[in-house]
Amino acid sequence: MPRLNDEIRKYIGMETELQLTCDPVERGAVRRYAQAIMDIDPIYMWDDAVKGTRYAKPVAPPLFPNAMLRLPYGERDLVQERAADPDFDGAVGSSTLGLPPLPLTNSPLLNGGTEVELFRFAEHGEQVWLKSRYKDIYEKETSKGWFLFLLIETDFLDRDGQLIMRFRKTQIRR
Amino acid sequence: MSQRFFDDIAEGFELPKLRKGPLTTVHLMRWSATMENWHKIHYDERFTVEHDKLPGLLVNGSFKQQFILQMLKDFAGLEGWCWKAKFQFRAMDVVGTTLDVWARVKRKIPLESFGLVELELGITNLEGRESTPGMALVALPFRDGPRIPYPFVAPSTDPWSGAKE
Repeated sequence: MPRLNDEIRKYIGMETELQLTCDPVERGAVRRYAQAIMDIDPIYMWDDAVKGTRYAKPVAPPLFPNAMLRLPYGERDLVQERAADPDFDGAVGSSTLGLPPLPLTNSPLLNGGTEVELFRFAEHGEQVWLKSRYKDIYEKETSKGWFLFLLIETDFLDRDGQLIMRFRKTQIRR
Repeated sequence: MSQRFFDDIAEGFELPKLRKGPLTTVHLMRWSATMENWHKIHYDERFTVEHDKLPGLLVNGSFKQQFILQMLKDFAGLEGWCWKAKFQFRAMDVVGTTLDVWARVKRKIPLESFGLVELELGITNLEGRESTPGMALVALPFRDGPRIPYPFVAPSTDPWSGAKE
């Protein structure tokens, strides 16, 4: 059934304030990330590996800033609030990159794709800001039924307001 | 790893495949914990199959895209730059699968001070089924050219400008 109604259309163009991620680029977080993606590149960890290169410090993997929107300490914890809800799928705010979730219930979420523009790597120790927007929301009928497509665009910025990367992802809601 | 130069790359060149897997529940759990992504379809099989009606625990799209970016970063080398990439998650990969990232040079675009290499790319499983078709633009230096600026400065000519998604 089509679900793209006026209530959902209101979200198109909605954007967040500029948000500071709750932690800077931590060396330990970079280590865990690199190990998880199984890309043990020395530039992610060692000063010696970046000596003489254009990188002033060890850097984080290209898409690392996308993992920096975490639950700030002391903020509302949906994982705990909805722990006993059999319909809770575990997807929380980070999946919408700080944007308010659409008013959909029992609407499974899938990752439809990515478009990314990179300008530099995030460096160890630096702080990162982000700003997200619902670039578009549209609906399509497929052989498996109607699907909503949410195009979410996020700018990741450094302390000078310069782009580290622009990340667009398509979320699919059944 | 030695630096690749724009001059040395030919259209049709195929990058060495990057294999990841078999990707087990341990890999998915480690990635979910790294991302603090608690979406159950990556670790709660009963919820995934019975509630969300999916075929099994899914390899995260956010996980698969890391492999693409790793290949592109390594192709660019320390003096090149992966400027843009785009891809769609068209098919689901379930836990236990082994994935191969592939890429092929589709077009070379020489600019004033460096060159752009347009790649077509994707991720296949061991049966050869494509799940993640996409494209990328990687900047490579000329062998006798200047260094590519870092942070990267987008060229005035964007080959994808106006391109249909």
